[in-house]
Amino acid sequence: MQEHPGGSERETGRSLPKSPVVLILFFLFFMVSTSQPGQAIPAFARKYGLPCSACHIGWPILNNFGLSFRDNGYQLGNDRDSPIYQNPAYFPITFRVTPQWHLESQTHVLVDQTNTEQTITTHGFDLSGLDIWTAGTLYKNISFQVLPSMAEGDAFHFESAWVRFDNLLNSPWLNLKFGKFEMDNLLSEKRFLTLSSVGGSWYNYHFLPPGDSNGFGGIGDNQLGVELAGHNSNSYSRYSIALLSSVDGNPGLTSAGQGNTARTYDVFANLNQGFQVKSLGVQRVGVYGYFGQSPTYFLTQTVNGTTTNLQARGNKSFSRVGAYGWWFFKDLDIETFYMHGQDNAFLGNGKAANDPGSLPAGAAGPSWNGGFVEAHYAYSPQLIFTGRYELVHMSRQADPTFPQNLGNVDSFTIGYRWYPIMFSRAGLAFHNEYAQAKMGNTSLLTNSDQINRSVMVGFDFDY
Amino acid sequence: MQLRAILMDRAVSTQASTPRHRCLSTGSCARNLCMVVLVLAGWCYARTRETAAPSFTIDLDKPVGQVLKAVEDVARSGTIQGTFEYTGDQHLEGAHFDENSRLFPTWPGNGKVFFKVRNKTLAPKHFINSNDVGTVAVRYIVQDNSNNSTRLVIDAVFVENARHHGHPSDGYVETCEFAEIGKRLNQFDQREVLRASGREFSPTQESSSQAENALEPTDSSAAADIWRAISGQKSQLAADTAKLKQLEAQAHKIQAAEFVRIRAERVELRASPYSHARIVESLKQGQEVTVLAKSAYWCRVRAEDGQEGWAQYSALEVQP
Repeated sequence: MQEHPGGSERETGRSLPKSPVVLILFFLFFMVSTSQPGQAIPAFARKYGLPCSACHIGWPILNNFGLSFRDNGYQLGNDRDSPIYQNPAYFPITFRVTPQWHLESQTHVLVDQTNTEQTITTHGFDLSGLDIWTAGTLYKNISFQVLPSMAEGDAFHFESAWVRFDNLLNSPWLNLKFGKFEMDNLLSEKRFLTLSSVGGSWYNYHFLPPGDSNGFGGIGDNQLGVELAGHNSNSYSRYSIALLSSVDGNPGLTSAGQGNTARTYDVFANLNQGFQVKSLGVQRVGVYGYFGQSPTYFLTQTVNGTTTNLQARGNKSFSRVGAYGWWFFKDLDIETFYMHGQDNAFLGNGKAANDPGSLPAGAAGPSWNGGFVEAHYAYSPQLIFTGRYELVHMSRQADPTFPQNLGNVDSFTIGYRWYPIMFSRAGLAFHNEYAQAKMGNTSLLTNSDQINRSVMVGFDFDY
Repeated sequence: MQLRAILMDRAVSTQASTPRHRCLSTGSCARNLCMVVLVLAGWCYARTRETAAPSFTIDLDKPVGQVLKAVEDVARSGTIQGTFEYTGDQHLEGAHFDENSRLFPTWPGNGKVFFKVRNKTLAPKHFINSNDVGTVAVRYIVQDNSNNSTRLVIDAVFVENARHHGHPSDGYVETCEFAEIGKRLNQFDQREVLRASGREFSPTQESSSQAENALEPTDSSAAADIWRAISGQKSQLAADTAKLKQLEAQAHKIQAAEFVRIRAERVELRASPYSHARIVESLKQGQEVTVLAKSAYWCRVRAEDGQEGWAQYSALEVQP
């Protein structure tokens, strides 16, 4: 029945708060009481007049329709894509920045002054970098994305810049993307919910064993190349295959940080399938593989004492393969990920391929296994809790004299994001996170495990 | 990306030398902060989930047949009121009538049940925490209360296709759907009055006067028969006239309804009978309004400017 009158009346006329704690609570109360539902990168919400929740479980994680919308080249596929529905003043741009307070701590850090290891802790107010995200359609079935990004005090770089020709031959199975782009990872590191120094990346997506000279930064790094991708009408079935320059996304044909030297190509392939489980909804599983090469030495030229690299040589192979799943249980979703990685022995030991004698006795290509389980609980679209456990364990060291656990990572992260304001024009997330990672045997003096910790309290906002 | 920046920040920060004694204050600071964060998390937890509106239930002083007809008419209209996908739209089009819907459990009670269903709907408005693409369904239950009274129950829900997650309405959809049904009922009433007037009053009156003028007695027995017939016709006319007056009174009651005035100093007229519903107009003390419908605690009223909305009983008083 209808609500009983007077049931939601509140007291009014409170006195002005005075202490800082009360002021903070008053501020937060104001934010809570004025909060609005919905999530999104606002650019598309503005364009279509849709609520943010049309595409996001919780910003920035995409829901099923958001994934389908992205796969379809940022098009709804109905008459609303027509320019007649769009505001002439609309401009597809979104800014994102995260002012924050954070605390960083690391154990067993070698200190010069005492020549001992101690725990180093720092904390303070800080800024993230700035992302300027623009994306949309240039024309029907031609989409684009340009994302200039900068860290505090740094110059801008292009995190991504690509154009995509969608629905070639009128088929959603043929889409061609060209430029610098995120790998087609269904579990997207660019869209996850943790931002702290320790928990702000998936270690599996960037892992390299200690001493490894591989220039590849991991499948979490955006890469330069061309991608052929496709999907069915609801994006339950998806595939992608990409041909990429072996430059880890660095422009200027740069190999392993050496300019104008790249000349090889990598391949990344991804295949995933969604299927309905009665009452629980769609579940997704997939497999992926990255197969690449990285140089071990360079042809050089020395003029007036200055040495310039001319060409990368001694390219050696590496691979990252694995499988993943994304499981939904009503408001709870769980991401599971497995990776097996291996590098060539020359890469693993940081030695030039034209000098095999420099390899240590018993040298082998390092290999490792890793994975994570990450859960998100969407209490409401305005409040999402997250937790993750992740590990990377070496199965074979490049040098047999290395300790077996050298480089191992054991990490967990917990946090939540609360969205007091999330309109199609702007969004604000109150972000709280604690993360911890144990790095196996990495201390310089005692070869102890090092533990890194992060506490982060910040406001992640876009407009 | 910011991730890189943060990692770089961390690399710098962990290399920085910090006096040991500051770690104590840092730890204390972190503990306090964590406590504040936990309290805030609890606060957010308690505040951010909206609650579903209860079923829209109303008892109408109408025969069940008339209500059934109006509800079915609305259920077949193809438009769901009170919700939309794109900002600027007013309603959802492309809905279809159905006698069953898997989005609602089977109705165990008595009465007739109808559904209006809209597939492939994108995060429709006025469904709590609406997300993703899914199906909207409106359920109407019409129950005969006897004594010329009918109970109407309306519910609306949105269910995601991918996660099968159900999102109940915040009450606005049901209210707007009822407003549509109300319009139909008013139309039926007006037609009924007109139809009744045309069939039972004018033709009868005309024929009886013609009969009186035409009658010319020729003999006593025949004259007696004729006068008896005239008397019968007059009785019939009187009965018809009385019925007409009854119908006119009923029409007047339906059309004019009940007039009341605002008792409270200021009353917010709301779009639906819930205190959190959107305010459509503010009324001042003494303003007269027409009562259109009544529920347990709320009245649907029409203000002098024609604006319709819901007000609580406690804010109204009957005119002296």
